[in-house]
Order: sequence, then structure tokens, then C-alpha cells
Amino acid sequence: MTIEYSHPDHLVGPPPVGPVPLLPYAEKSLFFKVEHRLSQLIATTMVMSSIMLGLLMAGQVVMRYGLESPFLGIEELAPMLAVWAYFMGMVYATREQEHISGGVVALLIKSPQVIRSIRLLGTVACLVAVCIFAYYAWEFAQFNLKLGRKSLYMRWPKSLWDFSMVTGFALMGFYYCLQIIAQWRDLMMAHNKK
Amino acid sequence: MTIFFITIALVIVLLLLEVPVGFSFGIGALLYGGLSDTDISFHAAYGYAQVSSFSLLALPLFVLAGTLMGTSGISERLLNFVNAFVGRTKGGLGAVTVLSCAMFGAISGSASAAIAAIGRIMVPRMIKEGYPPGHATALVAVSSVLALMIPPSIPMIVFAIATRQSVAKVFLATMIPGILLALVYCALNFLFLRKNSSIRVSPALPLVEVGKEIWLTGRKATLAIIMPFIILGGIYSGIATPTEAGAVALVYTLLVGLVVYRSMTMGALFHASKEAAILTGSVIMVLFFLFIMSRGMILAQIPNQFADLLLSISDNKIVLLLIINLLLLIMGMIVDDVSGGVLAAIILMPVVQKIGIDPIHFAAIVGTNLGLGNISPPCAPLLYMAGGVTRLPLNVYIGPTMKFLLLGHLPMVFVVTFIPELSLWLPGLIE
Repeated sequence: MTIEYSHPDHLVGPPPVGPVPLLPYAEKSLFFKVEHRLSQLIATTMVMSSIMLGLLMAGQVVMRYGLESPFLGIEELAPMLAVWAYFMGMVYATREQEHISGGVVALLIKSPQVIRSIRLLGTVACLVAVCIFAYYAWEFAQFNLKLGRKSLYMRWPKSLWDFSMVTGFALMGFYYCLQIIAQWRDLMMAHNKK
Repeated sequence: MTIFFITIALVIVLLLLEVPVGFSFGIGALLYGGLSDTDISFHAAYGYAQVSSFSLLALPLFVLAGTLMGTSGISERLLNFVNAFVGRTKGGLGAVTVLSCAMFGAISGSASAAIAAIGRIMVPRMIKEGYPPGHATALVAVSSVLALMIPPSIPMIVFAIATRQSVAKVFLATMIPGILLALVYCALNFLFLRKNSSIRVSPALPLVEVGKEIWLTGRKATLAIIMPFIILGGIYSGIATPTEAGAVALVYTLLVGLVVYRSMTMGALFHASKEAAILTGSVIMVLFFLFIMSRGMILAQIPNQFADLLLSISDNKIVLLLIINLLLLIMGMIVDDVSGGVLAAIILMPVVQKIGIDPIHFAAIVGTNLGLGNISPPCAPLLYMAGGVTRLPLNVYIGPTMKFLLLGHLPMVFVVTFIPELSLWLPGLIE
């Protein structure tokens, strides 16, 4: 398993640009102050979902052997917590630029400007893919919503599950937009300096 | 097949251009859908159904448990215990690193967690005792792969789900090869360092003192040592499913870290949980897009066509196995271990079945090969991560790494491929 699929590009190429500025700078702008609160909400959602998932599954073992009374709704509740943890995790990975990625760009190309341009194009490609899949996710969630589908055991609306995907892709799109702006500014600043 | 090759070529180009692995597959899926006139929107729902499946829940739970172990004080206690056995010999610290990575793998299932937990402690310790920095870095990188092979292994969980095999059996397939590889790395470590005069070794203790040290460190590490037995014992006795075992591992880590060792603070707990959730999200994103892309390809019979293509090259089983090994090695060099496992399951499984290879044996071949690929350049994620711990340039540790790979891991790949009993004996016991 690979947490940081780190590669030499980060060591020899121009430093990567994140979608949001660091905290002391972020505090100067209302937009980034709000974004900071949003990121805290995302982090809390994914952490709480993960821990509750673990406790729920462990509780299932205890209930089965200790109380001889398994909770049948777990097969619905556990995946719901999991999908929210997964998609919020994806969003946070986008914000922190911690997606699994490789690459040999900086080993083959020497010009920092060309490397910056390639990275910008890569982010644009990601944004396009996110937008298309966000649309598919919305279509899928809307389809279930229109049918009024509910879970079999707990009778909870399926949208509680489905909107994790919609929210996830929408927020990833938001962060990729910010990253494109940041990368474009970095590219222009480096160009002007030159 | 032409569209398939164009899609794969695009994915490889995107991967080499630093596009995240998940999005490379996502863009590949969109291109494949466009060129083959397939409606990908239906496959998005399929991808969502796959990642939200109940059986995949083992993944976030083991990732979270593995990450929390790094902050619970378990890794230090494990290291001290193993050190009591071999730490006072020349090259002993190297052997401690290898064996600790193997033991840590048996409780976390994550190679990167092993580098983070063991590498960060052992590399500075080895360099301080006069080990060549390149050797120390290489040793951590190659040993981290043991965590992928010794159960519970996160890539093996995903492989089992993708091939619809028993997770318990797939876990056991790589266990003996993993233990053998650990022993081979220990032997190579002693061999490479035998003429090194810069290494300082603590004076040897009388046998009684060694026994005392083992007893003391073992007592402190008891809770860490019994953990693999709880996890694997729970799974193989039928008391818990792999998913529930992951949850038990998580609760056990929380209890040990917060209540028994008291080394885990609430802040550290939140931070580690956040790291684990980010990692889980990144892995699931890769799986989500991979499932979408593979669905389109399966419906178009691409894996079967690919199998026919390989069979048209040769019908000799040995030749085909060598080709499969080469393909797996290349996959491991380009993508991460989880993606490689799923790709192997989708693309290579039909050919493997056609030439009569047991799917469990194939799991062992995949696990061993992807580990080798993950420490082989150009992408070599685990190698660069170990380099990130020491902050050394690649040229310092690439040589020692290649020596370990060529003399240790590569022969093990052939052993696993051509001696199926090695990976089938243990799973056979739970028929």
C-alpha cells in the first residue's frame, strides 16, 4: 500500500503549488477563511465516519457473540459511513494534493516553465474528468431520488448514500478550479520574473 | 483491441505526466467510452456500487488501524523486542529492520505504514551505528514490501474482491513467500556488510543476559506481538470476517494506544485518522475509476481477447508465465500496488485460467511481482518514500536496492511462479 506515491519530481522540479494558501495567509482573505472552515468540516466528517465505522463493525462482533443478537441494519449503515469517508477523503486528498501519482516529468524535462505548464494541463484534464463524473453522479442520485428508493432494512432514503458521490465530485471540482488558478498565477509569476 | 491499446497508452502517458493515478484511469475510461461508443454513465453507477460494497470495508479499517499503530508506541516496542535477538551482531540492526517490517506488516498490511513506522526509527539508528546510508535506505525500501506479502495485506484484499476469491485464502498465498523473502533479505544484509569495518556493534552479552533482555522487551511488546494472532486467528477460526477483523484490529490499537501504553493523544488520534482517511480516499478513487474502465472492457470481451493474443504468441505454460511475470513487473513499475492488483485481476485472470493456473497461486504471483515493481524505477513509489525518510539523492541508494532486488526479490518471483506448492499449501489447509 502506498500512502505517498512520492517521486523525484517533487525533489528536483519546481515546488508544487497547492490550491489553497497556508493558514497565516489564508486568514487575510474572507474567501479562504470560509474555505478553511469548510476543510475542517470535511476533515471532521471523514474522521468521524471512519472511526464510527470501526466501532460499528467491532460492535457487531460483540453483539453477535456477546448478546447473540446481530444488528441487521449494519449492512446498510456501514457502507453509508464508508462512502462518506471515501468521498470526503478524496476531496481532502485533492485539497492537500495527496492523490496517488507518479511521473518522470522533471527527470526528462529541464525547463521549470515547461514542467509548470505540463502540471497545469494535467490539472485541467482532472477538472474535466471531475465535471463529467460529477454530472453522471448527479444523474444517478436524481434517478434514485425520483423513484423514492429507500434502503431495505432501515427504510432510509438512498440519497443519504448517493449524495456522498455528488458532494465528493462537486467539492473536488471546486478544489481543482482553485488549483488551476494557483498554478496559472505561479506560471505567470515565473514568466514575469524571467 | 486497438481501442484498448490506445486507452492503455493514454493512461501510461498520463501517469508519467504526474496526473493522479485515479484520474488517469478516469480519463482512460472516458476515452474508451468515446472511442468504443459505450455509455460510460452506466458504468459510473457500477463503480459506485463496487466501492460501496460491504466486503471492501476491510480496506479503510486496516488502513486506519495501520496508521494509528504508528502513533500508538507499538512499532518501538516491536523493534526493541526483535533487537534483543539479533541486535548485537554485525549487521544485526539491518536484520532487525527486515524482521520488524515483516512483523509490522502482519499487523498493519501497509508497506508505506511500515516505512513510516519502522524506517523513520531504524534508518537514523543504522546510519548512527556506521551503516552505509544507501544500504540503510535500500534495506527499508525492500523490506517494506514484506508488509504487502504477509497478511493482512491491503492490495490482496482488493485482489480477492476483484477476482471473487476468498480473502482468507488469498492472504495465506503470499505468507510463506513473504517469510522466505524476509530470511533472504536478512542473509543478504549480513553478506553485504560482512567486510564493512565502519559498523559499530554493541558488545555481545552472556546467554543469560540475552535471555533476560528478550524476556523484558518481550513483556513490554506482548500486546503488539499477540495482535497478528488476534487478527489472523479471528479470520481463520471463522469468528470474524476479514472486515470485522479489521475493526477488531482498530479497536485493539485504540485501546492499547489510549489506555494501556497511553502514548496516543486525542490530537494524534485525529491527525492519524485524517491521514488514514486521505489515504483511503485516494485508494478508493483509483478503484472507482478502475472499476469503471474495467467494466467497459469486460463487456467488450477485452480480457478474453487479450488472453487469446497471449496464447497466440505461445502455448507453452512456462513461456506464458514468464510473459505474465514481465507484464506484472511493468505494471508494478508504473502504477501503485492496489491498482496493479486490480489490473492484473481484470486483464490477466482469463489467460491464467486458460493455462490452468490456480487463482490463489496467481494471487501469490501478483503479490510478489507488484512488490518488486513498486521498488523498481521509474515510478518506484516505495523506494522514493524510503528515500524521503533519509532525504538522500536516488544515486546513493539505487545501487544497493538493485543488489537486493536482483539477488533477493527477483529469484523469489521465479520460485513463487514455478513452485505453486509454496503458495497453495497454506490455503489448502483451510479447505
